[in-house]
Amino acid sequence: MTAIDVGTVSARPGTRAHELRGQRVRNAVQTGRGLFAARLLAMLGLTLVTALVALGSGPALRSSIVVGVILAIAVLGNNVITGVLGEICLSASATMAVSAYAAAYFLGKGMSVELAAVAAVALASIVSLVIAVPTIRLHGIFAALATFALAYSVPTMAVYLKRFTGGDNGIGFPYPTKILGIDVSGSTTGAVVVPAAAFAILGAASLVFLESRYGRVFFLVGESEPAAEAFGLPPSVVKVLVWTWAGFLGSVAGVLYALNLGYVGPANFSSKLGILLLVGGVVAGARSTWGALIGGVLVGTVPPQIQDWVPATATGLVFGIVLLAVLASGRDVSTWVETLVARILLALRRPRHGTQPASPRERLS
Amino acid sequence: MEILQTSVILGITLGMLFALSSAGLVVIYRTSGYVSFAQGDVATAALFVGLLVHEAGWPYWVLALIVISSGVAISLVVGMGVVTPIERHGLLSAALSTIAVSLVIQGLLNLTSGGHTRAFPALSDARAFRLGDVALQWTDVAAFGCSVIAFVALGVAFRRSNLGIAMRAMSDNELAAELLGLSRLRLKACSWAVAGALAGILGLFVAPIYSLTPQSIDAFLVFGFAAIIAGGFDSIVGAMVAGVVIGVLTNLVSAYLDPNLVPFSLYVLILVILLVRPQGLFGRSIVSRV
Repeated sequence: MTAIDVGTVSARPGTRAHELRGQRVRNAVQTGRGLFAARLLAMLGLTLVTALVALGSGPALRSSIVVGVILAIAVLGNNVITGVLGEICLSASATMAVSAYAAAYFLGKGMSVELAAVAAVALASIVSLVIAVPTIRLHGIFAALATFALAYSVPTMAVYLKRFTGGDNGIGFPYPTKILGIDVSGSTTGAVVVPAAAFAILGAASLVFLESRYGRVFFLVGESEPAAEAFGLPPSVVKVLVWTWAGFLGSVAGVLYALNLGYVGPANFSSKLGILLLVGGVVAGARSTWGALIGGVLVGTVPPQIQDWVPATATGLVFGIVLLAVLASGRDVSTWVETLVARILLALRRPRHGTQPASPRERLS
Repeated sequence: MEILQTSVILGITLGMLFALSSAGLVVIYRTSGYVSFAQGDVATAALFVGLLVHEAGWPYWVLALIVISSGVAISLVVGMGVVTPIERHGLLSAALSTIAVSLVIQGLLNLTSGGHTRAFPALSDARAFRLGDVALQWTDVAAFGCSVIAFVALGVAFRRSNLGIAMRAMSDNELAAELLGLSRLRLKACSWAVAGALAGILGLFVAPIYSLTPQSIDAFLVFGFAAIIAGGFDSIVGAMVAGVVIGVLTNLVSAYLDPNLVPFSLYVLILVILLVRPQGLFGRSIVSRV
């Protein structure tokens, strides 16, 4: 607790407060919690920079960044499962598919874009809730395999339900898709701004929640279910909420994806997308909101941008190598960056020459 | 009635292949505590090596030996060179690394082969005998026989042999097993080698049916995942029974409902079994002290 309270104390170099502040920063970097303001600013700043880069780019790069930001919302959801519960979820693409198809179906029935989007997100979130109930009984590799089976079944299921989904041909939108009057299709300015704003709002909401005392409960369940039960907390309810929240974020991404592409088809939601969303999250940092943005943008932009050198079917090679490098190092991108920034900031406030370090008695008190 | 008979008979032969694909997964799980998502890609890479041998004009038995030994070699490189070192960061990291290996192998195969569909030679196209209205080929009979032999051998090895018992000990408590003098790395190498050989054998029977692409065996492995979940992760017998059940079930779904429903029916089967019996049909329930 002391490490959390020192934020208000004057932390002159060489004092105990300075040492504790250093410890607090190191703890925050290792656990992915704490330093709320800095992380919120980093996430918002990075989102702004990404949007500005997209607006300053040509249509091709802009379009892939837009898709990347949309996928980042799904990565954000996946990261809650990976970062908080420590489980592997490979079915983010399935949730995206449900909401994307639902949005296309509702639009086809004459609903307004806004109403269709809300209805689709609500429907997909309910589906996520229903699926979460049996899924939370699984742990580790079992959860990974079950979610993989779900992701694998979605494209063929979409073909089977051709009355609603258009089968192999999918559903195309013959009109511009506008949310509150802003066109979000293709590489328009609205297509950059709306997903970026959605990511910023949902990222901030995730950050606020996970830093709250409820967030601590969620992390406790992820660390040790028996310990959570001993404290009188209901692990099952918490886990269902985590999976449903992830499903909600995936549904938002699915609707934006459908509106942006102007088309929904089985090939858009293959099990490979689910794998890449997981890979993006793990590579960039499963407990980092700004890392989710990096992960999503990697998944969205790398395959189209390297197509001149690597065929589309082989882009998984790049993701595989990057994932292996991250796993072998034991640190994801956000941990590397946060460690580096923390070291630089702490070095700048290192004790000046001649300043006495904190005494052992001070350290123990 | 004819459709039912055909679906059941062909479902059993197909189910033995599903079971064979799950056997490799069980072997790694029983030593390391996770499954390899790269098992199908190991098989595919070995088959591409075998295809080179076939194109050079060598007979089938040489091709089969090359595919199986390539499977062993590639699996050892993947397991001992990549996955096992990552275990120090946790079992989930190790499982994730097999996904990464899968992406790398698929990417490399797509780069080098162009991703085209290729025909792969079968053991024999000759008809063996009729079972009811179904004409079975020698390849089907060989696949069935190899699967049964593999399962009996694995069942006996895990229950009776020192090596199998040592592998189970390593899976249950790695530290205790090492304190008893068992070599962690040697046992893991054995499990990866056996899994690689099983992947090669599986590939030899699957590739002629589905043709060879960088993803063909990988797609087949989903049924293996379902078989080990349904049968129980630590049960060799369970994997075989579940594989056959899944083979028959998927054939019936395909014949009477719609082939596009097969993957979803697999998912539903997995969920139902996990809800009713989380440890699988033949698995042991794990009791842990709090």
